[in-house]
Amino acid sequence: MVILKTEDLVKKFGNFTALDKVNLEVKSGEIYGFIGPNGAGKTTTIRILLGILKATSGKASIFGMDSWKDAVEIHKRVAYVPGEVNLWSNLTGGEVIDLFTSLRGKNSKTRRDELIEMFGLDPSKKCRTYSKGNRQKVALVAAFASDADLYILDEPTSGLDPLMEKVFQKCIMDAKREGKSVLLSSHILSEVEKLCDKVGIIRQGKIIESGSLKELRHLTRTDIYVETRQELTGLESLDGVLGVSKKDEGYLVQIESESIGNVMESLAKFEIVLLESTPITLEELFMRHNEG
Amino acid sequence: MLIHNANRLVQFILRRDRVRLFIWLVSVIGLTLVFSVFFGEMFPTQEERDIMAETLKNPAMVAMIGPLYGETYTQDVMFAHEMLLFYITAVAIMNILFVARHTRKDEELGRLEVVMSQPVGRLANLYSTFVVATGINITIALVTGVGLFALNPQTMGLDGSLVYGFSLGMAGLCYAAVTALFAQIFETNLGTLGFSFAFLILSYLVRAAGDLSGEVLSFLSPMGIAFRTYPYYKNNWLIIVLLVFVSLLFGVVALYLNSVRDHGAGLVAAKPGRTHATRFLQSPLGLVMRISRTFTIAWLVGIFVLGASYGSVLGDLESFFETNEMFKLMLPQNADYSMTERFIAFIQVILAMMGLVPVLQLVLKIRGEERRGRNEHVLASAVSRKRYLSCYVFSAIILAVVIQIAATLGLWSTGSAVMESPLAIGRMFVHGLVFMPSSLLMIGIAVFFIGWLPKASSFAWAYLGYCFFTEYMGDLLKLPKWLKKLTPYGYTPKLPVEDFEPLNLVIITAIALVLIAFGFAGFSKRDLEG
Ligand SMILES: Nc1ncnc2c1ncn2[C@@H]1O[C@H](COP(=O)(O)OP(=O)(O)O)[C@@H](O)[C@H]1O
Ligand SMILES: [Mg+2]
Repeated sequence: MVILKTEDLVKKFGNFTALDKVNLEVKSGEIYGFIGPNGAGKTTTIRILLGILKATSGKASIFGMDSWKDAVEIHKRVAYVPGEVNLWSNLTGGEVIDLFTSLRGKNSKTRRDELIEMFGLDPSKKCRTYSKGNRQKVALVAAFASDADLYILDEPTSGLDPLMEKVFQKCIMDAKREGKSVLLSSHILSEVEKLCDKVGIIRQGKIIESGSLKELRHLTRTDIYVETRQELTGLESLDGVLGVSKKDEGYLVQIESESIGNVMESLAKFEIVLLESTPITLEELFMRHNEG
Repeated sequence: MLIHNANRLVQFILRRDRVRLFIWLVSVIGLTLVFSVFFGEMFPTQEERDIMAETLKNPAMVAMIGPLYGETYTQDVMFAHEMLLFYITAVAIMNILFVARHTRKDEELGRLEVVMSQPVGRLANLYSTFVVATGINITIALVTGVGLFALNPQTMGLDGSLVYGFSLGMAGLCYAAVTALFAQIFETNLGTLGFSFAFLILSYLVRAAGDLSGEVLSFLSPMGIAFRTYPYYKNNWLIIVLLVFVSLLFGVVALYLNSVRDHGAGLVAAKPGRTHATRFLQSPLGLVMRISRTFTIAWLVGIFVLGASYGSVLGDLESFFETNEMFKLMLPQNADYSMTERFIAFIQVILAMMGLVPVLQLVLKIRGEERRGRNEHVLASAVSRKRYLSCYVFSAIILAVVIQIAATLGLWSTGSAVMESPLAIGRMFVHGLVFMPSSLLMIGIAVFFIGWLPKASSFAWAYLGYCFFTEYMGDLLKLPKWLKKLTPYGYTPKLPVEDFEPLNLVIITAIALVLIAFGFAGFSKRDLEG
C-alpha cells in the first residue's frame, strides 16, 4: 500500500524553482531515505507534504489524501520533526513534549518517560537552556511517543552525538517492527544507509536516483586502503577494480561494490597487514552519477 | 591581577554599545532639555503655577511624583519636582538593561566565556562594566546640569541644575550597582532582569509610602534619597555623596561575590521547572494564553495604574482647566458638561487606545511565531490553520474587554477617592465598552495583514499610532477635522459628552468582521514560513 506519494511536484519561489517535478513513493512499512545536499529541496518537499507550503503544480498525498486539502486529517496520523527545532524559551522540555503529543492526539505516557530516559533529556529545564541537540531530542521524544502511522523526520540527527544517534536508530527500528513507515531526510549517505530500505536522491530540486539500496549498488563503490607484506601487482587488471594508486606504505584501491568479494580474495594472497575501508560520500556519488 | 586588561574591555564595551548608548543618552538628555524650555511656556505666570501646586498637594499626586517643596513654586522648582522621579526611572531602566546585558546575559549566552579565556583578570568584566556605567551616568549628570542652565539662564541656576543632573546620574548608578549584585546572585538573565525591575518598582512604591508618611521609608529607596537633594531649593550635595557611597557599597559586594563564585553559576540556582504540562497547556488555546501570559499581566497592571493615576487628578480639575486654555482644547467640546466629565470622556479614549497595545501584540504574535519557525509544530499536528488563528483572535478579544475593564476600574478607584461625589462605576464601564467595536476593527486590520500581507503586518502598529496622534493631539494642534475621521475613534461617541450613535458602532463592527473573515481566508491559503 502506498503511504506517501508525490507526482511531478513543482514549487517555485518567485522565479526560483526549488522543486522540479519531484516524484517520491513510500510504501507501507518502508523506511525511506530522502537524501540530498543542503539546499536541494528536501525541506521544501516535506513542507508541501505537510500542507505548510502549497505546491505550484503536481500532486502530493499521504494516506491517499491530498496534502493541502486534508492536512488536518493527515496530521492526526503523522509525527513530524522539523529540521530546525525552535521552541518556546520559557516552557520546559517536559511541557513541550506533553503539548506536542496532546495536539497530535493519541500518545503513550509510559513510552514518553521511557524515551526521555533513553535520550538522557532533563525535562525540567527551560527550552532556552537547551542546545540544538537537546531541542532535537525534545521533538524526537514527542514524535516517537505519539502513536503515528508515518514519521516524517527532517535531518533529525544533525545535532545529536554518536551515542544518541544509536538511540535514534533503535527508535526507528522499533517503529519499523511495529509496521510504521518513515520518511527520513539527510545530507549524509552513510547515516541512512544502515536504516533505509529505499532511498531517493535529490539535487537542485530534481530526483536523480531512487530505488532500493541494492538497485543503487551500481552507483556505490568502496574505497579501501591496504598494506600487504608482499608487493601488490596486477591489481589493475582484476574485474571490478576501478583504480589503484600508491599512498604512503600501501595502496588506495577503488572497487565496485558488486565485486568486493572477488577482489578481497585476490588481495588475501599478498598477505594483508592493514585494511581500511571508507564508505562513499554523497559528493563521490554525485561525481559517479555525472560520469555514468 | 584581578582586573588585568580592564581598559581594553572598557573600549570593547563602548565599541559594542556605541549606538545603543548614544540613543539612550540623546533621548534622556535631549528630552530633559527640550522639556525644560517648554515647561516655562506652559505655565508662564506664578498664578498658574500656584494652582498647579494646589493640585499636586493631593496625596495621590505626592505618591506619584513626590512631595511639594520650596517656599514658592517657581519654575525651576516646579520642573525638578515634576520631572526628577520620572527621569530617574528612565535612567534606572537604562542602567539595568546595560548592566544585565554585559554581565549575566553575556555569561548565559556563553559570550563571556570567550572573553574570559583571553588574558583578562577574573573581575575585569564586571569592573569595566562599572567603569562604563559610571562614565555614562556622569555624562548624563554633567550634560543635563550644564544644559539646563545654558538653555534657561534666567530661570534655572547653575548650582541647582548640576544638583538636578547629579541626582539623576548618581541614582542611575545605584540601580546599575544593584543590578550587578543581582547578576551575581541569579543564574539566568531573566532572573537578573526580573529582580532588578522588581527592585525598581519596589523602590518607587517604598518611596511613595515614605513621602506620604514622613521621610524615614523614603531613605530606603535610591530614588527617594535622590529626591531629597531638593534641586533649586536646598541643593543638598551631601545627599549626592550618600548616593555615590551606596553605589560603591553595592558595587564592592557584587565584585566580591563575583570573585568567589564559579563562572556560569549563581548564588541561587535556577529551580527546576515542571516536568509535565498542565491540562491547560495541552491545547492550542492554552499554548497561546501561556506564551502571552507575562506581557498580558504586566499590561493589565500597567493600564490599571495608568487609569488610577489619571483618576487621582480628578479632584482639582475644574480650577486647573479654567485657567489653562491650552489643555482645555484637548477635551471634547460641550458646554452642557462639567470639565471633569469632559476630562473623563477624553481619558477613556486614551486608555482604550493604550489598552490596544497588548491586544495587537497578542494577535500579531502568530506572525512572530511564524517567523521564529514555531507555528510548524502546531500546524503539522491535528490543528487546522483556522483553528490556530482563531485561538489568537479569541484571546485578543477577551483581552480587549478585560483590559478596558481594568482601565476603567483604575480610573474609578482613585477618582472616587478624591472627588466629593463618587463616580457611577456602571456608567463608566458602559462608556469604556463603547470602544470595543473600534478594538475589534484594529484586531481585524491585524488579522487581515496576517492573512494577506504578513510582511507588512506592522502597519497595524502605525495605524494605532495614527489613531492615538489624531485623538490626543488633533484638537490641540488644530489639525483638519477629516484627519480624525480616518479612524474608528472619529465615529465612536465619547460618552456622555457626545451623543450615542448605535449605527456607527454597528458599521464599525461589520467592517471589523469582514476584515477578520478575509484575514482567515488569506491565512488558510498562503505559504507559511515555518
Ligand atoms: N521561502 C523561500 N523563499 C525562497 N527560497 C526558498 C524558500 N525556502 C527555500 N528556498 C530555497 O529553496 C531551495 C531548497 O531549500 P530546502 O528545501 O530548504 O533545502 P534542503 O532542505 O534540502 O536543505 C534552497 O535553495 C532555498 O534557498
Ligand atoms: Mg533542510
